[in-house]
Amino acid sequence: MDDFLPERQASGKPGTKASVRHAKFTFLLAVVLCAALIAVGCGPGSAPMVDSEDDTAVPEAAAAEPEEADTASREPATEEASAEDAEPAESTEVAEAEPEPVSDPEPDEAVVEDPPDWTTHVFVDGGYYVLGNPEAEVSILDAGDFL
Amino acid sequence: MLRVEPLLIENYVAAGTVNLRFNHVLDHGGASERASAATECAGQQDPYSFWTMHNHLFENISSLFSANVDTYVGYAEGLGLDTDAFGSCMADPAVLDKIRAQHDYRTNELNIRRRPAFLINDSVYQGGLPYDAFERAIAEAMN
Repeated sequence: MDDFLPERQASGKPGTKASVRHAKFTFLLAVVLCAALIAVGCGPGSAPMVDSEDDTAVPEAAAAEPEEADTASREPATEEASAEDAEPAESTEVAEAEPEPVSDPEPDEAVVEDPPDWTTHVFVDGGYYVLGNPEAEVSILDAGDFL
Repeated sequence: MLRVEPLLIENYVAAGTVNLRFNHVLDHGGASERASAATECAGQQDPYSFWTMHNHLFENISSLFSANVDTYVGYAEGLGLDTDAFGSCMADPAVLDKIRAQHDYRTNELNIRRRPAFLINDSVYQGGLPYDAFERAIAEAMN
């Protein structure tokens, strides 16, 4: 045992410097490796970030879809709502428009009113059956016999 | 007037610038009275029927000398008039009085001796007039 220990000590003493060098080398190697790992992207922080990005991207997309779906579903809802909002407006417009056509024909009727067919209009004046316009500028009396 | 009347109706009456009235003249006794009475009885049922009967009589003028009351009732039936009412009217003396009064107005008030004759507004035209004479007379009456 003692031999062994001195050997170890003996070997240790002259090996202390070596062990220090070995430790430094090992440390440097570890630093380099760690730096290399970090550079490669396998660092402790990078891997989760990528994963988190992937994970986030999917949920975002998934979340976006529902959002889009919501949006899409809202859009019709909004359209429906706007349509519903518009319907009363349209109905109001229709209600406003309805009187217009009703009111338009009235003046049209008044303006476009066809003149009477004076050739079939007969009125009685002084015992005569008068054919034509009572307000005519000219009145012709035909004094005649049928025979 | 028989020939120009359709033109006057088409060009002036339809436009509302001229109206027409017929004054009975009874130059042929009972035949004239029956024909005039037929127009008055048609007019009693419907004023426009006075003119439809008036036109029908001028279209059948050749048969009017020999026409009796039944003939006119047949005309009335052809025009869609109530023949019973028409027959009663033809026997109504008031109708004869009315047409005689018009004949007297033409002779005594308008002093018309010729036939045909026309009163265009206040101007009397005796004898037949061509259409262009009516046009000039109407133009003068409108000025």
